[in-house]
Amino acid sequence: MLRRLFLTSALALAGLGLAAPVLAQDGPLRIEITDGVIEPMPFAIAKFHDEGGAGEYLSQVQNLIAADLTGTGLFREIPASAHIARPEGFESPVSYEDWKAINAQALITGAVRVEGGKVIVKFRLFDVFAGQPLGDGMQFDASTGNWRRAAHKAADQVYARLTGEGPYFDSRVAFVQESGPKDARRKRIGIMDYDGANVKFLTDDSTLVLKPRYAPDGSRLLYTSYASGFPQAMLMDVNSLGVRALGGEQGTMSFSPRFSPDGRWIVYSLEKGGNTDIYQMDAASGAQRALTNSPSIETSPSFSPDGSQIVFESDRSGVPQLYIMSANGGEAKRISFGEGRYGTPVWSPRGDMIAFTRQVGSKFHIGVMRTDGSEEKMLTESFLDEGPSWAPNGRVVMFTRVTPGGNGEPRLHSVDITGRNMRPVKLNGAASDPDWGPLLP
Amino acid sequence: MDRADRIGYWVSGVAHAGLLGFAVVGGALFRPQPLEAIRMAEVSTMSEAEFQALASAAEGRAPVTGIAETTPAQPRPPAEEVVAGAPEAQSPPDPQANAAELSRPAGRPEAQPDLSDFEDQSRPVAVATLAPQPNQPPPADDAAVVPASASRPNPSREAATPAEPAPVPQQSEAAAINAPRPRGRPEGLAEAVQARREAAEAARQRELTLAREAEEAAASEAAAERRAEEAAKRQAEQRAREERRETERREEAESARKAQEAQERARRQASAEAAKAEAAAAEAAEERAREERAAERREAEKKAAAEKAAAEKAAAQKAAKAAAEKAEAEKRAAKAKAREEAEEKAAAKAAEEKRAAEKKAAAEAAAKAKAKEAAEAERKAAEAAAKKAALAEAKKEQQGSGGSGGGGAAASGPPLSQGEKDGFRVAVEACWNRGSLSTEASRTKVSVSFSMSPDGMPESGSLRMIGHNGATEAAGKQAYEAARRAILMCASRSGGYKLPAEKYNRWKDIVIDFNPSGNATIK
Repeated sequence: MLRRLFLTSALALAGLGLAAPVLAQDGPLRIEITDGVIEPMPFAIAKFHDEGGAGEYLSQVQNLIAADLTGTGLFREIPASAHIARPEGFESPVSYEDWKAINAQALITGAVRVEGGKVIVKFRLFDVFAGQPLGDGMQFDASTGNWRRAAHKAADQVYARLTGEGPYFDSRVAFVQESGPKDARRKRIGIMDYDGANVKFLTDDSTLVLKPRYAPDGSRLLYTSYASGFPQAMLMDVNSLGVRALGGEQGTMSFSPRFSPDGRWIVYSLEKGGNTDIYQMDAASGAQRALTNSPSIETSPSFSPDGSQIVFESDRSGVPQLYIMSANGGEAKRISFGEGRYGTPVWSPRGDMIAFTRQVGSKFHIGVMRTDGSEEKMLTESFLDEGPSWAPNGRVVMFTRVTPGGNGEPRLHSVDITGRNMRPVKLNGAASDPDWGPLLP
Repeated sequence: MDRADRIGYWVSGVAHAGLLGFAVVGGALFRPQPLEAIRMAEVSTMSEAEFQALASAAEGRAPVTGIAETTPAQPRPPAEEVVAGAPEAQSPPDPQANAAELSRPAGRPEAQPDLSDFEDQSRPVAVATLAPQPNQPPPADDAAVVPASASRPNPSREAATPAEPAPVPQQSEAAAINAPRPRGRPEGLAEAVQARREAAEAARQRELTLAREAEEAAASEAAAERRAEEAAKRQAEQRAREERRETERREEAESARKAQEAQERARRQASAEAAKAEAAAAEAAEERAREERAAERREAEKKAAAEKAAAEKAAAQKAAKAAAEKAEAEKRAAKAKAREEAEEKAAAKAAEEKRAAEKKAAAEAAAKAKAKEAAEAERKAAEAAAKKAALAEAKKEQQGSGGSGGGGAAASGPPLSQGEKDGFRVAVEACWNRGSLSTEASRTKVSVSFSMSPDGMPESGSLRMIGHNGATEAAGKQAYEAARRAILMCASRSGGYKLPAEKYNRWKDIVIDFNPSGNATIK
């Protein structure tokens, strides 16, 4: 009986083995692709239509949208000279074959009109090879003086739909403009569009100012001023330009103030009696308390986006490193362990990464790491890179780069967190200490 | 082992165990009881006279002389001296504090006893030494010390009057001494003695108290001084620490200021040097620019001269050529005329021959073209037939599912080779762009299924995502759109994927897993 059983099972297995190819044949062909390419996606932006009074705004809006997308390093514009199709109107049907022929993977059509002192911009986005629109068309309007914002908003939508990332073009950056000879440097605080346009200055250059920091809603600005002879944290209303000093005791120095995500608290470092610790102040009442109390130097605090933790720089281990602690103070956990010095940490708006400055020997780097210190990655390397600031979508970092030599000057640069697409911000003159504000409403 | 031995072992074992147990536990169980503390009480001694007085007062008898004769007078207890450092003696109760007058007992005259035996003063006394002189009664001043209300009842003494002591006859030392009968105690002696004793006791107590208070005062002063000294020491130490901290802070601030000043100086120096270097560089650049301009001018002039010369040469050459050509042309013209006539004749013949040859060639070409067309038609017909057969087989297989294994394999044809699969994979991969995606989507694996038409083109309506491992739906959607673009784009560019037609049923349904774990080519 056993023998029979054995023979029967062996026959059954053999039959299965024979049948397996047949069974497999009935299923679909399955293959796995693991490599692929990384290249800017070619897109085409068809000539925008003038729906009334657009004038010079037509080409300006179209060019700005193209510049925003190309500036990310993720897209490449196919020049208009290569276009085959010329849509006759905003509502004209799209001839996908003509756009496929020039290898455009995405197509943007749009129209501009000006009426009643407003510029109205509308656009549609198409997936050429899928032969269908990507999302619905949208329209933005702004005053003629703010036409750039309407263009940035349209570019934000295209960027978000194609990549899945959050937008960041319609935002402002606070920075310190530097001028004059090196031994008599004059500094003043300015704000600009993220691409360096629309520069406005908020202070004069009569006193030394440093490190401007936006409030979460973009209505106020913190910065450090040497007007009193000692570094003092100041709070400015961006609209009225009203300024007040944040409470501090005589004989103390305060640095690096930053707002909490809800705008209620300000954290900063305070030097008192030869020791520097991190303090927290109620923005409304001015009541302050110490969050750290150790003989080492603690500075450069930055909140997490949920306001529950603070990352800061401390030399308690002998060399400046990065630490994380609860927003109420208490025990701190070290997260940086590499060679060299770590400083100026900034928490990403997405909450997943921390950007920082690292010095190893004579080289400076801008780097990013996970909030537990893992996956550390250097994005740049140069004579002097420092002071990173995150874009509102947590994908791009802006920082200061100083070129070496006697003619060396600080300039603002931006880089993608993949380490690609590092490019300078188009700004006339020397600039430093950028702080990227929130996405404008 | 027999019973006796066992019993012996048991007894021995129990005894030994008991001994050990006692040694271990006995000390705890049988602790020595503490002895009762020895109680000490002060006992005062009294003199012979006092004893006699007490005795007689108690019984009404005369002094007990026998005892007085045989027992020498007891010495008085020495006065207590106050010793410094001695433990404090408990102060006896104040004898006057709770003094109460005792009522005098009702005097009852008793019958006088027969004291004839005792009145014989000549009886020898068994004392070898001279009897001491009896105590003199206290002087009149001391009588004032004795309180009027004496507490000691002494009714029998009132009646008695002190008799004058009889003169003691002088005798030799060896002779039996006939001690005279001591005189009776003078009146008020006991009270006086008692009073004196009490006064001495009170004085002693006062002295003790004063001494104690003095000691306590001295001790508290010493303690206060010690505390003051310690407080002064602590304050001094604290001041010293604060001064040290202050100096350290000042030094640190000073060093920070010096470092800053040094940095400032260095910066100013560097900027001054930089300015100098800039000026020098600017001057050098200007000079270089001037030199370059001069060199350019010279070169330009040279070029112009060379061009002029070349132009003149060319013109001369042209003129010479033109003359030579003219002469040749004339010669040729003459020859040409002669040839023309001959050629006309030959051309007529050749034309006829050409026409005939062309006719032949055209006929041949037509025949070849026909043959090619026929072959092409046959090939296409064969392909169509093969496709039809494959379709038919596929339909048969769909209809007849669950057929025998051997029969099914024969209808589907052989599977795709690894090379064919790799070719298809590479073709799609070339269009899979992972760059223009969010960081999350670029890490998301997505599976896409679709159907293919026999000409190798994906049917765009059949594309769908069948799974992803992205953290969010948005990431999965973005990854799917990039994958879809890749499939459609590469097919469109190449006019359809190059897959074997005879194996169509193997690749008509495809699932591609786009897994961004490999290394992408950066373009």
